[in-house]
Amino acid sequence: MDMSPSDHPESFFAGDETAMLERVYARSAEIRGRRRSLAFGASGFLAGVAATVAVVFGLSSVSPGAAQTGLRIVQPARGPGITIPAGPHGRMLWRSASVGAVGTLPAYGENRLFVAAADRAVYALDAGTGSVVWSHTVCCSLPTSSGAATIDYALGRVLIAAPDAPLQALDARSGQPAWTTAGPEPALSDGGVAVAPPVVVSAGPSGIRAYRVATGDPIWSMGGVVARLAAPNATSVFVVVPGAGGGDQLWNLDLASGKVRWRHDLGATVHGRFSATRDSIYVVDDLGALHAIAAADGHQRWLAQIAPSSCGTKPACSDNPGGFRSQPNVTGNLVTVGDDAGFMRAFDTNDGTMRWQLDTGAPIRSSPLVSHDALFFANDDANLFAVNLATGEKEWSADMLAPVRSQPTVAYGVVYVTDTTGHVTAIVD
Amino acid sequence: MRFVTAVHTGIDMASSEEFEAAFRELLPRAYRVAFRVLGNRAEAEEAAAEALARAHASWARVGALPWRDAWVLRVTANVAVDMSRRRPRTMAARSSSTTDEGELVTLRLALSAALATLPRRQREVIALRYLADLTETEVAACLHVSLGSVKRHGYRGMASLRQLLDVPDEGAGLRWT
Repeated sequence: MDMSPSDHPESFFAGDETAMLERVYARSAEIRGRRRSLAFGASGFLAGVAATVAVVFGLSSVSPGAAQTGLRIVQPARGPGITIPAGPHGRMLWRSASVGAVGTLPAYGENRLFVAAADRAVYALDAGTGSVVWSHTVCCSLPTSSGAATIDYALGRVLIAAPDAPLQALDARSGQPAWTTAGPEPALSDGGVAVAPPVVVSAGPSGIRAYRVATGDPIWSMGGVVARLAAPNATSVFVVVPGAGGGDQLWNLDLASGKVRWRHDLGATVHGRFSATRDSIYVVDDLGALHAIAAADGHQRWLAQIAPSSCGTKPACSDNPGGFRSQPNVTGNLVTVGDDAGFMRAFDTNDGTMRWQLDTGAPIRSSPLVSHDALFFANDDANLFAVNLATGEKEWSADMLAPVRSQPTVAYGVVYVTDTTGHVTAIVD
Repeated sequence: MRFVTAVHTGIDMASSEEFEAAFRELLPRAYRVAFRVLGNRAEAEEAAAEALARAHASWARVGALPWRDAWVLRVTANVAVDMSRRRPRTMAARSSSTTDEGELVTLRLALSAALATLPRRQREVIALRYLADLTETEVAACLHVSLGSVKRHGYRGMASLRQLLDVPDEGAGLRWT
């Protein structure tokens, strides 16, 4: 008997390497979730459940950090390939040619920035130089809808959701179509798509649908529901649905099955995007109140009334009485949100107490992003700000040459923004 | 410039790139180790994925190890052996066959069962040396033990295996070299 086993044909791996990688990420998320459970006791429970959900869905990854912070999902990158010369903060690294993008944030993945232009072209730009790596016009001859496409990156896929178009995924490396859903999505608006790998959920006037990120396979759908906005955490997707009394409701749907866990009456309409974390959902309503709602059972933890006093008589507030278009960001024990009056404010997630505010002098429609204790956001005066998250003190600002209304993306110490003229700009932090 | 990481995954992006590169290199090796223990494609994939996931979950530490590959292969072997322990007994019966392949499967199952009974260190040495095809020096580095210790545990492990598998001393092929 030879101790060294013979090389059976099946002893050579012949499976799907990408699927295995996703499986590894999913299991890794579960392992790390369990560690957090051990570290933080009951607070870690949902993370483990989240990872389990990922495993149930099969071979895909969950981004537990996203569940905790409510930030955009940034998957592991390929490496920067960027040489950043020494110099002050806030200097421009490059500015791309205009791609005609309309306010969509650049999605980052695999050392590329992905932007969706108004003409339905999707561009991948080299994160180091801003040059176009590939471009692809998304499927189908589409009516000239005014809605901008929403774009995101997850699991090697660039996900594009545009009004009256199927939900589409491109291979991030090649730009080639990976999958597309069968028919037009229900008039997806900005914020109507929630990406929580391995699931992507679209919400619109004709229902809510969930698909696998990697393959586009449908997971569940819910018809007969008019849903407008969506945001995920690791175990749920939260959608805003018009209520019977004129106000909107927030629904918690199980990410795996679509089952409704609870409904919460917000008492007002909501048009701004909202953020979900493992513990709470933070929603700014059209009356200018910031709601903190418990993710577990939907009870209101606290309510902070901000507008109309913050909006005052500034002209920019006239078309948006609530004054909030910026998506709240939740990091640690602070939730930050900007308003049309030009204020960026931070509230304590425990009780809603305002910790600091910064007047930037121009409407803030850009959703803030936190990276390494710095808060990045822009305003309509074309200024990009880096602010100390703990104190609210401005660290630096940079002129973006055009108003910025999208959320910045940060990778490798470089802040990327798209502006209203369709340029993507890279700024060194 | 702040050193910015992919906060969402808890793994910084440079490490993620390193992991993916290592993953592509290690997956076939881990799978092969697992297959040698388990003799089943699905289970081997499961064991390899589990080991690589454990590596990813601790990549900041594991990725910096000089014996990184050996660490992953050792975990793979342990996972595979643990899986073989939990496997229903009926599987062995079902796998019995008079064909060469059937004999091979039977042999593998017997080997897995025998490996599972060895003390952990002996099992690790045997798995790394024979199933992962590492050199004795690599095994020593991986397990944080001396070369002499590897030889000692290997010798004892092989002796136990011979006894368990009813192979004559210094039997054909079953040698610690």
